[in-house]
Amino acid sequence: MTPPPLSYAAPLRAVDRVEVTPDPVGLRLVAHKRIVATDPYLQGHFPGRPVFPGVFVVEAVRQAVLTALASCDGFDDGALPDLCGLRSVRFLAALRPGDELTVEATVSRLLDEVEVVARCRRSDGVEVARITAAFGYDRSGPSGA
Amino acid sequence: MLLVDRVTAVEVGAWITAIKAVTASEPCYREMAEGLPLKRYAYPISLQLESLGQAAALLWLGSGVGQRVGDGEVLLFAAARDCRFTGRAYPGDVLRHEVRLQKVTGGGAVAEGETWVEDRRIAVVGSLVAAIRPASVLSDLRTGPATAGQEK
Repeated sequence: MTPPPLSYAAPLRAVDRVEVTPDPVGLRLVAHKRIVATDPYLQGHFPGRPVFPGVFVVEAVRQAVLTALASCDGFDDGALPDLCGLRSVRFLAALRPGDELTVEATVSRLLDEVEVVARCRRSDGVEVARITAAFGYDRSGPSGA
Repeated sequence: MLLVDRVTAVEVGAWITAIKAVTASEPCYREMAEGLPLKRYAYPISLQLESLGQAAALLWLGSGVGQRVGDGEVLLFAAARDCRFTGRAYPGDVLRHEVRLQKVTGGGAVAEGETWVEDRRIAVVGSLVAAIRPASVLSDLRTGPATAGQEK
């Protein structure tokens, strides 16, 4: 089944499904992504040894958060919040085709931004990344828009 | 996944300026719905950061004797801190990364930098760490000894 078109630019579909639950500080989300050899960009990264790029783990967190916020908030059309900061990112282990990435994150409002603290694991339980990120509304849109 | 078009200036071992054009034909725009507002065409931050990281890698790899990725090794994005993405790039813009080496070690490098579109600074990267790893590590459960055991 063809997935529905995206409402934002994205290097790949970095999440397969997202579960969102309320949390004392805001939201908790759990997102899953199966790494497949046919994902865009994988063939060159690296030739003969495909490794899911670390920045695509960041992308998975981004897409999980956008999905979670869209399901819980009302947005103006066009006023999609997006990544505005990475306070800390550490990539701890590699993800390869056949692995499943699980992102567990807390999402909370902090002043006019949304703070996300994410722990990312592989299907064998190994931690692959820790990411603390901020999301906000871009106030500097394209000139003329 | 080459996300640098051209190095426009470099001081070997110190800093680099590298550019990448954002075009409407890129894969990141291919699966979007019709009729979306232009703001939705903002170039994904994940790709923009990878592009800056590749500029840092070029700076480091061009720095001198011993800075090379040997057979059986890969250069990986290991960490970053204090990144702020205050603006966005759109199709037709050219990303200009200005990256400086902070530190070089036997197994990697730390860099800092900014991304500009013309005279608009759209990103600041406080620090970015790239590390050389044996490719065999990619088959193992964990990365090499340099990062194992670093608890936060």
